[in-house]
Amino acid sequence: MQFEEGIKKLEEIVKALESGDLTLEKSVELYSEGMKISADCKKELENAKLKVDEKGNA
Amino acid sequence: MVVYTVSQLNKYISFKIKEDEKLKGIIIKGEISNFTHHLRSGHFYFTLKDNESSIKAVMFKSFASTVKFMPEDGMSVIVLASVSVYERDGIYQLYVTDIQPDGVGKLYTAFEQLKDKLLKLGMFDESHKLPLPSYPKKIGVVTSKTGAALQDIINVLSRRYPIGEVVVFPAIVQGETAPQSISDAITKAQDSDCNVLIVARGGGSLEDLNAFNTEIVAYAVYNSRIPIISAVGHETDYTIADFVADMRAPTPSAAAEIAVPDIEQIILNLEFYRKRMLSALTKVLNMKYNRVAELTSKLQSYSLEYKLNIYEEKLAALDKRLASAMERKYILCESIFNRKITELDGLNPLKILSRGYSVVYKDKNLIYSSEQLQENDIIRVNLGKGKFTARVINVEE
Repeated sequence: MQFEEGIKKLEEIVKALESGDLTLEKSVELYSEGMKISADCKKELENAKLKVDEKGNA
Repeated sequence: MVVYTVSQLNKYISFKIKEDEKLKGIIIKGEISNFTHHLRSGHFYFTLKDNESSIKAVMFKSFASTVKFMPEDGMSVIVLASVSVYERDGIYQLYVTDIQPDGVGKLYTAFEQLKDKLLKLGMFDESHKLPLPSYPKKIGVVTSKTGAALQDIINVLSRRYPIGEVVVFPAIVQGETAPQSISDAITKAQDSDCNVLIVARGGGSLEDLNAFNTEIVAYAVYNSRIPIISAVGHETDYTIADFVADMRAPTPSAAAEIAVPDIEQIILNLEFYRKRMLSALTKVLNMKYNRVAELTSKLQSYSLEYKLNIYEEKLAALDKRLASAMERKYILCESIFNRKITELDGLNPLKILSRGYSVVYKDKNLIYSSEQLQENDIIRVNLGKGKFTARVINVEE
């Protein structure tokens, strides 16, 4: 998953969990998914290095 | 043929110019550019120009200190000056002794006119401005490939948001070809998958920034489907491009900071999300646990144990009632018994004897009828007190 999508997904999961009207099973499932996304995002951030690309030459 | 040195030539030219009365104390009209107020010496250095030509000018501190306004680039002025040669560099320049503003500079007028026009067309409207993405993946930069602005932007992005990608769309940002070049670069960026565009240029004079005050650049910015952050010149410089852009940044570095979130903040946010998820899950668990507890307690009311408890309680109550009933019955019986005892006491034969009656036996048989007796029978008579033996003298019916 891309970092940007990850953050977006994470925001959705937090909101869904906080709404409190999910089944227990779904809550636990979302929680594990959210924790994994959060860890992946953090890892991605820590290893990131800015890419610079050039298009054209004015 | 005589061979001259450069110094000799310059000295000669200087002499010829100084000699010319027509070049002394003249009044010249032009527009200021490249204005420098040399702080240490207090001198003004600038270029005076019109559409076709320009000339360097210097105004020494003794004159500069009397000027009532602060000259600036783009300003149309009238100066009183003499022409003289700066022999070291072989250039001739104006030595200004007085300077007066000549209305508003042309560039400034043009700027104001274009600004008014575009404002009326609605090109600065807030409603047309695009929102900036929170987490842009690709950041396009329209600027000079060699300028400091690009380096500043890349430095800030590497530090703040190394997860991003920078796509540079090089443009000429100064001179006559600049407007078209900037417009082309912005147009080219439309075909990319950039999430945000920074259109930038480092500081400079009003003419240096002029490309960003042109209609063609204004339209390119306006028509961009990608949100644009403009960052042209210094903090105090406002260009037409700034007004049209979706967001204006005071400097190229600031534009980079506006374009992306800070990685430190993102990491903090991730941590915050983890905490929120944990607390939300805990809450859900508690809620479900409470529900189970509630249902269990309801269920228990239908259990055998619960029923037994109820019967046990009933039984105990009955036991108690039984005991108290028995108690009452006993008391009743006791009082009846006592009464009977009293009654019984009244029937004691000894008591009857004491009232004057006697009991008669014959040969140990109790005599209760005269038929049991004959004359001369020996009988024994018991009295209430004492006894005696007697002989029957007469028997009657």
